[in-house]
Amino acid sequence: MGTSADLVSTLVDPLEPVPYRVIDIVRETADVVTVVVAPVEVSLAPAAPGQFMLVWAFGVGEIPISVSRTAVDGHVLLTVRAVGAVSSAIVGLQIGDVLGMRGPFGTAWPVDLVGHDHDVMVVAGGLGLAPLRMAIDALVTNSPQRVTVVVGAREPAQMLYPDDLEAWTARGATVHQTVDTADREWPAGVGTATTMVERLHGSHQAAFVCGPELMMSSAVRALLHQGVPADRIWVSLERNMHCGIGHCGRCQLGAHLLCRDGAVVRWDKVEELMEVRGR
Amino acid sequence: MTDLNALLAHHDFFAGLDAALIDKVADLATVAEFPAGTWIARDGTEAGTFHAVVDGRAGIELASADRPPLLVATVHPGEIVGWSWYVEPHRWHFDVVALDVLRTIAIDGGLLRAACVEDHELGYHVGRRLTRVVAARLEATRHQLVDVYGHVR
Repeated sequence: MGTSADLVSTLVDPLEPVPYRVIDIVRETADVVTVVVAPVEVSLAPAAPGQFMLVWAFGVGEIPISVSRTAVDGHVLLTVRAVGAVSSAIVGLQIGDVLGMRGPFGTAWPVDLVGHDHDVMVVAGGLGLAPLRMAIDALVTNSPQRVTVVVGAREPAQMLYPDDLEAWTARGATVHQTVDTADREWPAGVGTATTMVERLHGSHQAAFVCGPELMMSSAVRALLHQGVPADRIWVSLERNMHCGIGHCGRCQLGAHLLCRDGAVVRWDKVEELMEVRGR
Repeated sequence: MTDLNALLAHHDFFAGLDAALIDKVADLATVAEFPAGTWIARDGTEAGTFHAVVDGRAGIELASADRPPLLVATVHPGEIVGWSWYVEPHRWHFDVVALDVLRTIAIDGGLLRAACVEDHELGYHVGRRLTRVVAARLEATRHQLVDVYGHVR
């Protein structure tokens, strides 16, 4: 028998936003916040690591946001950077405000598939750490294998979830931070995430990569060079996701509808598509 | 094999070189140690020494009179500090500072250049390895230049 949340989720129209109330706001960086929301009445199903919600800022619009963590009582954590009108509206929400959510949608990081018999390299760039957060939680909790995390950011003040980085380290993961520029007080690396991946000379058998596509392509090249098979590398790709159920086609990438077939996709399935140039 | 030869042979930059070539480099090298905060190189000065990092981090810094110094890259064990010793006019184009207690294999750049001219096999291997470093740092610099973590314009 499913949980009550599972039961409810089967009754919810995937195109109908469900109201959630903001119960906490965590300022992560100067322009990034984590909004903690709780169901007003009906809970959506819990998101698996890497899945996303379509989040409505009422009166403004709807955007896809990866779930950075789920918590007790159906609470959902959404880490958002103010970039456009909708994300700015979400970043500007106050405790007590209500937003709408649909989902969870899309594919998940295959934590169970790789976690038990693969040493895993996780590479995150910028806000790309948010969709990987629950996957790393699961890997450091359940995986008997080696977990290495490389996190890149523009500068130290832009590094997300410093408490999590410490907690993952305490639970056995090896965490390497790197930034584009810093001052001398910065105790870790300065350079790109790819440089850090290359530096580690890893012998990992699987990898999860999420961040800007330039960063992902470059990091994946380094991972392939180190012998990680293309069918054991997963990346998270985001396009113009609207319906969330593969009907509207706006998120099409080749034969893939990324709201349904992604955002998490295996590298060998999309490698050629990554060579297509943007407008 | 001496300790220095072994250090060189196991350093990522020199790994795979024939023992005879390692011997030639070792003749021009010494182990150096720098306390944290020590300048390894200063912008505009002669680039006479080539450092292969063994322990600790070196920081490559950009500085000017109108802004505080900014670290743009760190150099870690298995990597090398700079190539100005190899390329004319053999002057450093950045400041380099020891961020931790730094242990390097310090190689006389002028003598190594001369050895590369005299022994083209050594010159080929050193040049090939340096090119690999330059290519990787160029790609990294391009990514930093476009600010991949920023908003897509």
